[in-house]
Amino acid sequence: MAIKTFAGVAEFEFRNTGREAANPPVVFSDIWYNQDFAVSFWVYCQDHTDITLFEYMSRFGMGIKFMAINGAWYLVQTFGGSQAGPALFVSGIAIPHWQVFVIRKNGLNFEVWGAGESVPGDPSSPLVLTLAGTLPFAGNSDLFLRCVIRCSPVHSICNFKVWNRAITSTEIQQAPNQWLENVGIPPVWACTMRTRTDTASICQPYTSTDWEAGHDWTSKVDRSAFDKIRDPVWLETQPCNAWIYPVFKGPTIISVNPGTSPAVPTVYKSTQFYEFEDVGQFPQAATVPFWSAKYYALPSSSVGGGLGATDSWGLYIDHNGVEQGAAGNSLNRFGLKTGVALPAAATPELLYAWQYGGQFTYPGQVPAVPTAQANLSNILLFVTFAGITTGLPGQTVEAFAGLFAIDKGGPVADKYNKGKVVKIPDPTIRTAFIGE
Amino acid sequence: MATVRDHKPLVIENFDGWWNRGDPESAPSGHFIQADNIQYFHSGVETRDGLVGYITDPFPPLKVLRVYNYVTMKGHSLIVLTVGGKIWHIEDRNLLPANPILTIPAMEDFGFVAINGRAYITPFKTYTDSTGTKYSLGLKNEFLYVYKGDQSQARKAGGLPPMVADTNGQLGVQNDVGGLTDEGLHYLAVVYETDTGFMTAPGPLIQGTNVPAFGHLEFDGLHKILVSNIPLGPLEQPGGFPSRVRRRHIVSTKAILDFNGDPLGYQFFFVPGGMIDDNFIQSKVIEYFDIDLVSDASHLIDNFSEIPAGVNVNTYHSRLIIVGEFGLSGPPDTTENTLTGLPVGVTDNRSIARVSHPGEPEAFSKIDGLIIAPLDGNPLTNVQEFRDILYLFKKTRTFAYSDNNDVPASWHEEVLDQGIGAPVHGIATVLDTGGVNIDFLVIIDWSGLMLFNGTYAQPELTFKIEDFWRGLDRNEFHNMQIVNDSINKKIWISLPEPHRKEMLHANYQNGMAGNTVRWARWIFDIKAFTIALIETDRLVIGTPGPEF
Repeated sequence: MAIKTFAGVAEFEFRNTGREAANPPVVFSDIWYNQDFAVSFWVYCQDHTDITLFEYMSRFGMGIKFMAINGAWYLVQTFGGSQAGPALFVSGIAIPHWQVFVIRKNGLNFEVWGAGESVPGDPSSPLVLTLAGTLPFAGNSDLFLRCVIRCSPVHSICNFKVWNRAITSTEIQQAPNQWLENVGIPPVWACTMRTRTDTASICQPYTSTDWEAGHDWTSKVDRSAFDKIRDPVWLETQPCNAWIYPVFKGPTIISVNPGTSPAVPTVYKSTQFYEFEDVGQFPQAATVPFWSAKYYALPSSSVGGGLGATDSWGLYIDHNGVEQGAAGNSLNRFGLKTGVALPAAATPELLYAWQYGGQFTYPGQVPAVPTAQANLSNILLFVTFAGITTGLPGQTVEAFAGLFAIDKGGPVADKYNKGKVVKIPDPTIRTAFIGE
Repeated sequence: MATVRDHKPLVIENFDGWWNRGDPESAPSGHFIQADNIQYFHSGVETRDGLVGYITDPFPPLKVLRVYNYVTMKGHSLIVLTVGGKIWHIEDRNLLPANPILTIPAMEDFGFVAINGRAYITPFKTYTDSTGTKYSLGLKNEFLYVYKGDQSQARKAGGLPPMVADTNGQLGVQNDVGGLTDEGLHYLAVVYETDTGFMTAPGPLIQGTNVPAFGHLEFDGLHKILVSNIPLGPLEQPGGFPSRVRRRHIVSTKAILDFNGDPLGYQFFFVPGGMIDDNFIQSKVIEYFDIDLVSDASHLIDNFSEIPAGVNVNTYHSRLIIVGEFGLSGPPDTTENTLTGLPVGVTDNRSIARVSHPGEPEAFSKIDGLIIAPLDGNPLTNVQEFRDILYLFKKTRTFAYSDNNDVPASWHEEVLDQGIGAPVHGIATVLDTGGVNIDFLVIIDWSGLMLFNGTYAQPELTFKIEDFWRGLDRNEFHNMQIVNDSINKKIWISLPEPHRKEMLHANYQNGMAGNTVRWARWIFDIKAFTIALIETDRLVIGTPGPEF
């Protein structure tokens, strides 16, 4: 399901620099002076309403806009947000068809590549993009600042990607036709935009549990909601990935410290376990198996000395309360950026009924010495699948199932199970009195 | 207050609630064109109250599909259907019962009524015909269940007559010590009385047949009568629970002059002093004259031993009424649609209301304990007594029946309304009583929420939000449920897909009429499948989870 809004225009913004300096991405590439870049996106229009669909702006004000004007797509050079040159005609607006575009900054030119479904909802093969035109660009010495993609009640978008280089002609044909970033060098930023809060397909792992800030995602007007328009049919059959984060939004630390070293190598299991949830971008259906599913965490030892753990391993409590995950299995060993494969029993339906922890191997040492605390932090799941998203948040069943009662006089919030507290969704009025 | 020249300030005297009728520009003064998650108090409006978990400890993984108030002799409680066809009786919000009281995997929903602390439960599901129209009927090959309110397993209401394996189990009848009786051939039989007061048909019968193994004797008028080999009530299955049979009664014919060979063709009466108040004594001495035989037991032969399931149960004049029966549709029966391919002579029972004997909620006569509503292919959906009249509902029909102190099949029928009806959960229950009467009924209809006080009041209570109401999927009205907090004058209505996460809230402090009810839409992060009022006027919401 692609996204559009119920009312107004929603903006989704990608910025050059992360806002969490103390907690930077594991892999993140800025776009520097003179550097080329590229973006790709899909758009589905239900009428010819004018809109600035995509906008790029440099640090000193030069930019471009990809706009719908009078039933056609145009690329316009801008300065300070205003048109600063002739508009490049790209193509007509196909209604109601999915169209895909790639905008590539290649030296002193912006190139637009595009294609559209010939029959709505029936692309049986990848669309072949052709060069629609070239727009000279005078701001090549400027620094990339930000780009914005928009949707509206009549404009649906999906599969938005940004690269910090001019992708090749071959990649132009491949990348927009796939959800994944497995073509050439991956994009620096990508989002399937299949659901309202879907930032799940960020191309690289990130070490924060803060979805939006963590992925440098800015939702300027977050009034988007599910569209009943399906994704481009071709994309529905392609593997897609999703990052899934813990239900608990605070620091997720899994740690063990035996105090003194064991005489022989020993595995110590954590007592902390966490549950995960998604934001609706993942189809939890029996007919949608994982292509792959990994459990990521950042292993570390506490500062202050002592004998540290030599290895860290995945550990799980499954939906039946049974412990899963063997220490010593190389497939279950955490590296710095390599997740461990989830046991096959953690199916899409059961994923959220499992609890996730860790275990650590401490080497044997005689005589015994003090040990350092072993940690796993920044845990998340990375799954790959092919299927249609449901839009229903995947959460622990227990959190949102059961019996709930009106809490008269209590806090103005909805308190569900397992400590899940959410604000009352968008009340029209807080409080108002008449005659007082 | 400062005013703009030539513009008069608009004075709003009251917040009159949500208006969703016609163009938004046409909303009258004081109304909202959007009224989400608010509630009204006198002349004010505020954010609605929050939700909190109802079950606290231990944490239950309940996936709730339906909840009703269940008033027992101990107090108020909840009876809850969860995914998998499991029904739970929740008496303590801090303690989930260890086991469900009833499990029927195919059950999607259930009808319920409490009588004298006992719960009568009928499992049903929603079918879809070839045109895509959905309709609810009692589960095929399923029955009415009775639950005693004590966390024991619910069991089928009614009961089978005494059964024996073969003629060796025949009831023994012989002369005993000296006494006085009327002379002549008498046939004797035994009736079980269950722990819920149900009287079975006379027995024993040979297992799996309708062949009687009654006892008989040519009374000589000089002896008391020894009845022996009296059958014992069987243990409950599965699990070998104690028998539901609490008492047994000896029944007898009067003296038969010319026996025709069929003892079932004679009238049986309860024998005075013929009650055996246990389930282990197998012989009893009785003594009676034919003139003492006044209490008729013959009608028990005509009763259902297992009562077919329907979609709704209710009471009327101390009778239990059940409607929306699946009916007979075979053999061969390969379809779930009871109206498809019915052979000639095979009946469909979707328009039948079964009516029990007064004071005997499990005694349904197969012969005359029924009402047949006008046949139009649509099943009965609801049943309700109001001001001494029995009302039966279809989705767009309302029928009225009055008890004439004769058998139900003879009751007079009046077609009250051929445009307004009610879905299966479409009559508002009041507070936590489990009942609906408060001098009026509030009824969900396709055309709107209706006030019924013997006739349907117009305009409908949803006049102000007619566009929203008419936009609801009529095919899903069976998923709507309504409760009425008559103390605080509030109504809640759970909504069908795609509005499962929403609920309609009405405040009728300013009057119960289309132009005075104040509406709002409540939105949650859960799917509000089912609602009930607990602790007199506290709303409780049941949900199976986000994946449903």
